[in-house]
Amino acid sequence: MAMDAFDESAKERLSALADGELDGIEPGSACAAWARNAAVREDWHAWHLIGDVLRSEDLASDPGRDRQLCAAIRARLQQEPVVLAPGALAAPRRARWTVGAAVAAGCVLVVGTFAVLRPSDGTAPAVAVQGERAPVATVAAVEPSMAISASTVPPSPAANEAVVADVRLIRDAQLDRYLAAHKQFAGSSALGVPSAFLRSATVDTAPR
Amino acid sequence: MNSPDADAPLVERAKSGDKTAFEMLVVKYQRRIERLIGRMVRDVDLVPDIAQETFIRAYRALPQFRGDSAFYTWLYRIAVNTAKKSLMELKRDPLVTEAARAGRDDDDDDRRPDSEPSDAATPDAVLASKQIAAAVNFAVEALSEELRQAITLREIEGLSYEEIAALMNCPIGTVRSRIFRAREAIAARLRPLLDTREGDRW
Amino acid sequence: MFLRAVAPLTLAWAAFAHAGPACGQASAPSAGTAPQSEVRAWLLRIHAAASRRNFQGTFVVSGGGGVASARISHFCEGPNQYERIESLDGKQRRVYRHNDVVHTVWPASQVAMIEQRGMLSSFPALLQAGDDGIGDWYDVRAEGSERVAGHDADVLAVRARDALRYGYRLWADRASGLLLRAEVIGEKGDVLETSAFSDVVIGVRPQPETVLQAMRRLDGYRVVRPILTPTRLESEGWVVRQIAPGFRQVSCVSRQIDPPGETSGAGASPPVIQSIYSDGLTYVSVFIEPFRPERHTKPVLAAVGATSTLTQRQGDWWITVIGDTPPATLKMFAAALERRKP
Repeated sequence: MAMDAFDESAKERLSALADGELDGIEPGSACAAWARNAAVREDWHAWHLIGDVLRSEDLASDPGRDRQLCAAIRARLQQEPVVLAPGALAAPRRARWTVGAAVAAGCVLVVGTFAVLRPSDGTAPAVAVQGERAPVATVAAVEPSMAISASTVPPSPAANEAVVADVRLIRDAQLDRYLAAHKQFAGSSALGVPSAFLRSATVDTAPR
Repeated sequence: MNSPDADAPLVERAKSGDKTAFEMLVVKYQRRIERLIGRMVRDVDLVPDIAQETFIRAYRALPQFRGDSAFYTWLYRIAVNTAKKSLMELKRDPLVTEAARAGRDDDDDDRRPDSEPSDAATPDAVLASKQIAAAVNFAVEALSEELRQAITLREIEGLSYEEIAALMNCPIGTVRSRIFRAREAIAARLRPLLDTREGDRW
Repeated sequence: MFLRAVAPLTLAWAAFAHAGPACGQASAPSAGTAPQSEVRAWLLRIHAAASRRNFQGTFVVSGGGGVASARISHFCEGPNQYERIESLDGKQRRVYRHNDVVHTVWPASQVAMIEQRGMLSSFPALLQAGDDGIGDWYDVRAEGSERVAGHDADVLAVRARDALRYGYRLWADRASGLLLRAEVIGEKGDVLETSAFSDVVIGVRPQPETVLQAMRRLDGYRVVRPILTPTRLESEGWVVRQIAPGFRQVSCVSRQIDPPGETSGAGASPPVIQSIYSDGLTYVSVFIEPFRPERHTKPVLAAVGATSTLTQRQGDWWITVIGDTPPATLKMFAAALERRKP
């Protein structure tokens, strides 16, 4: 494949690589194109700068600064012995929310302008998903390995509705305020750590 | 369901000996890491060196990274440790710059006004940052509803393509395409602001 | 966003903290199952260290897919405590505390929020030593020792006795008792959240002036002061039936939930009642407010990291429950609320 002509479909694959969504395709040719082609490097930089700025405006940086740092690191990397420790990474332990189960559970919280999804009387909406995906593991408050089950625990089919979510998913400005109010009380510095503070560290709850 | 770290393909490739893959990760995380370091060490002049040190240490430690945590979490901890190490070394170094030494007492420098940003370089750089932020916001507003939704769900909400596809009720291929086109459109508006000067190319 | 730092052991030991006696002579825990008195001593020691020690370090919290950290300084001189916390991620934010007065400043937007946290720690007398009942709901035992952030630490395993609360693993500095690391353990034994010092110096020279100076320096800042009014659910028209076992109400206030200084076009929102419960280790907040369809559109039941959230409509009211517990526990609190017959 000619690397000089980095065509649209190759660019689109690069964009998917930025999201870790190559779906089995090896990133090798994308990396080779990146190494060879300044325009590819500019795109890669621009796209990640865009993502950073969308999440936090104070990450908008002088591009010259970014280039300088990268050039400096590249030069040092050239001096480094090549790291060779191949092998697939461990399956991550952190559970991640997936839409399928959350939709089935009847509650999905998405940022501001989007409507909550609810199943219409038990039937899950048609979801166009490519490939085989197992339903997500939901949080079930039964048989905890660490606890001794007490007779006072009610049977909890309702508990199966809860879904384990990723911190970035549930970002509702209103809910953040309740969370901040909760953390004012809970977790003061009794143990030497500012729970209240760190609770909302990644979300801006500043009064406007 | 456990979903893989979005960085896994590049990290695995880097571990297999491809330094380029690691460089691509540097570009992705350099701003966040620099911000973290900047807040810890306060001295703007020190940040690039400590950031470099962080990424090199991370590269050397790649064999020890096995995916038990997200790559960024792992990189983050290396940055914190590297910054802390630098702070400690500075105290012992008699040749430390005057800028680094002024006002420093343990880690506290409240003698400087709170409003002084710790990562400000020249006023030009600050202005450039503001312009970039404004351009990104403006470009996002100008996108069609579909493209804006796709890029927002991906970048701000951190949803996977599969999750976005379910929410937007379209195939994953369409999600991929929309995110790509959104990026192209925004980058096009940014291009004048990111233009390279001679001798300063990527 | 839902990252928490540590299991808040404030409840049982709050009375101790406010009395302010010197840190006890409790010794470090030895391995094995411990009698309740020894358990209490360990937890007391951890709590006392946070109040009495002078320390400075970098704290990192990770869980629910995110990571965040802050630089922390804490000083203690006599009966006075001082604290400075600075965010290392996200929008820049600093917190300064002198005893119960807390200043939160956002340098970029030049906003400062001043709060009195005193009333948030008024706990009923039932939680004095000997009657806390923590042992009814948690089993605490020593698990040996490890090194954390360059310090020798004793490890305590706190196991929940039922499925309504999470377990913890705590690492306390052997020399001082300061909590160095904490993990919140979920029902499957998985770690939901980790909070730990990546570096900490214990026994630094106290510098209260650095905190006090910063608290005085508010020129150019827009200052906002949220108001919390103590109240009782009964007088607000509510009856609480059977809540989750082991939990007791520790506070109830009427407050604004929107940040102070923000109006929503038509004026300030109606006040929200916040009722807080604790089992000695963890907390649940129940928020009650009038139902407003334009605002209250999304029923939620979700868990992120170690925090669960529930929102639902109840007649003319909107209920929000947030707790550092499994989601099922929140449902019990919501179900316990009943509007009084007039």
